[in-house]
Amino acid sequence: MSAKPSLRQAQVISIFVAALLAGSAYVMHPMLNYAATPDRAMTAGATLTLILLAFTIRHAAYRVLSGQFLVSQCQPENGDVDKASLSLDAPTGIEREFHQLRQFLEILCRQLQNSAETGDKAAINLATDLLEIDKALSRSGRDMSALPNDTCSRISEQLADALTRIQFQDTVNQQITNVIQALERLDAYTAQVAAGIMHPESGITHSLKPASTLLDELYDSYISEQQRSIHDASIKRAAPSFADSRTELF
Amino acid sequence: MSTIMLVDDSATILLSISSILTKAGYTVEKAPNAEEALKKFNNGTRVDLLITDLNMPGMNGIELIREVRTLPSYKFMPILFLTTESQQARKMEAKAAGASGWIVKPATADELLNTIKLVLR
Repeated sequence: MSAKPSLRQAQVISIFVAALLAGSAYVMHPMLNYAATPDRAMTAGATLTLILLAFTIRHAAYRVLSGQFLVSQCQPENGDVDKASLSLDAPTGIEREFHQLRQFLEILCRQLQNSAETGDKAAINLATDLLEIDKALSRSGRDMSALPNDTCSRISEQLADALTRIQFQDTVNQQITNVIQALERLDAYTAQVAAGIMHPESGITHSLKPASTLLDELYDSYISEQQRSIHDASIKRAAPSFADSRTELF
Repeated sequence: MSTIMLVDDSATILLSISSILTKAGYTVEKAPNAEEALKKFNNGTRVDLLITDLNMPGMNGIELIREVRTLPSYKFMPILFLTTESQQARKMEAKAAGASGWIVKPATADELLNTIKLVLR
């Protein structure tokens, strides 16, 4: 068995994981800025969860990009990097790397899922609270006669505005779901590559679709122009122009 | 006042949009998915306008309106999409299926209410 194809496959996987993680971080970035803006309606807990998640993804992306992820798995306990153990030629080493890579992907998926659920609950609770405040305000209108004339209506307008802004949670949720699905596809692809390297006689490697197909599938799965333009910018491709009108009647 | 059927798999959107519509005086029928909405249509629920999400688990928004358009009572009912998607190809697909308009999320109360007024006129 030639060692070179194995190493190349591992490198392809590392680069693809890095690209996907970096892409995830970029996808999250504008949403997090939105969520973190002080005048946006979002509870502190959910915002913090999302920000921590973004840092985790960025850190992970950096580690994979810089090769630390694979290197650290091969580092002996005494702290010296053993050059021989850095080689991915030994089947057991490759198997361990792939196993840990898949664990890493699974953990990321679960963390993302958990963040989506936390954000959802926080947004629903916040919306419910705002509605209750609005109802209470309407009921106590007469008791607030000491306040300046338009105070009640201004508070009511601001509550309605806050309720409208809560819609961003749905966008965040859909994009997180999208990243989870992409990570699951990557996990399945990684498993195929691992099986191909571990059992070269099986011919799996030959039937493996090119990594570029994964990128195309990722592109096809997007649900907004924002996601597509981030993808296009990441791979330095000119984005197709689109009408930027938010409402359109047919 | 008109009755609006709101279909979205996001509980946050159902809560947020229905509160805007109720405050504006509309009666709101909510459905968390297309299948549930279709059941209500098949039961003959009076609906003057359908507002639906595009991407939902199970039946998507375009499939839903294709089904709704086959029901005689709702053949000419206005239908709006409220979605994060803004791809022209999807809009054309929705138009061909019988949609009356498209609103990109997140929508402001003004965007939403003005568009509703236009299609209900």
